[in-house]
Amino acid sequence: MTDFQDLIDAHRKIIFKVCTAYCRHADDRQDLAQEIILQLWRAYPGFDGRVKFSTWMYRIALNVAISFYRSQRRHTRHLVDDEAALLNVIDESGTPSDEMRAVWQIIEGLDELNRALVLLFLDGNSHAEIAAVLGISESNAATKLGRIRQQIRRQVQRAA
Amino acid sequence: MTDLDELKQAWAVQDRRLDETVRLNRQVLAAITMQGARSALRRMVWSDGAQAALWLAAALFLGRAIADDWATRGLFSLAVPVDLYVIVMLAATARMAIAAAGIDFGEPVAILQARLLALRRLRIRVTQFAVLAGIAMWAPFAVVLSRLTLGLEIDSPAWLTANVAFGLALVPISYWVSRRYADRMAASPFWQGMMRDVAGHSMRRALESAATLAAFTAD
Repeated sequence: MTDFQDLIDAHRKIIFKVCTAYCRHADDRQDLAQEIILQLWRAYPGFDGRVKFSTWMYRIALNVAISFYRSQRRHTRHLVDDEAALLNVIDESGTPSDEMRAVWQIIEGLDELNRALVLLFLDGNSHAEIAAVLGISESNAATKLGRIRQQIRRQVQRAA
Repeated sequence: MTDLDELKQAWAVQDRRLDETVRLNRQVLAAITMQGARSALRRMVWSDGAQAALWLAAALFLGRAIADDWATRGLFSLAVPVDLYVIVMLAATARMAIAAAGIDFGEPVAILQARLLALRRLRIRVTQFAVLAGIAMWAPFAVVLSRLTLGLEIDSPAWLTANVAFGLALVPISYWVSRRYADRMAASPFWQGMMRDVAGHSMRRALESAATLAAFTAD
């Protein structure tokens, strides 16, 4: 169990970013983070190392987040006490930069699948890694990113 | 900021900050991994499995009663459709339990989401069948149940005809009520979910999600 916890701790930013991309409210983010951890823990015995741990973790986190997002209902279930939050953000009071606000606005404007695509791209994953996480071809990933790029340019031009 | 690559640079700056600001509560992590067994999907597998076991018991009970009462024509003609309903529900709940148990969140997103949407569509169709066919067949249910459990005979053809007709008339009414009032049932998520399934609202959303997924995976 310690190995698992160490791996999760080392990749905790994936959970944070996925939860932030799919949930607006802090309570929902905590619920989603707990659900992701639970599914990771359940699936961990079946992790055979054929893909990188981060790829496998992205798959689970995004699959759980997309399902959570689609259900679109606030969960009343809590695995643990609300007071003991799983993901603590130390400087939550800090104001996000204009750039980051722009990033989150763009992410929020996308549907749940393209949101996953952009999140993976922004996190520095190659087209091959994005394709492995999402289950689409590399060329498809590249084409879709190109379209999103154009869409962002158009949005910026309209706003200017 | 005009390009995705510029956004990526801003993201990288934020990513470095997250190293310092995001902490995982190890005590909570340990609590989740130790106590574990309460995810929505796992509850669904157990619930479907338990329902399948109940439907199996009902199917066997009815099958035995039909075999014993083969000569009693009145019961036979009513118990057979009831048993068919029970067998359909048994097959459907067993199929849902098996499908839910086979869900692996470690699969690529497009594949897993397609599986989840197929399971969702199956679940909606089963709810529609269970509710609408159950309403239509309430009179045969009542006759067979009262005979087999309480030993009561309801052998008035007029009563049976009138109540079968009433049950059939209730089907379109239930559909209409579900369509009209599902959105006003926010105080009761269970009933609202069921009414949305019966009315076809849930199926429409599931089909829209499936279309979005198909467009996403198309090269």
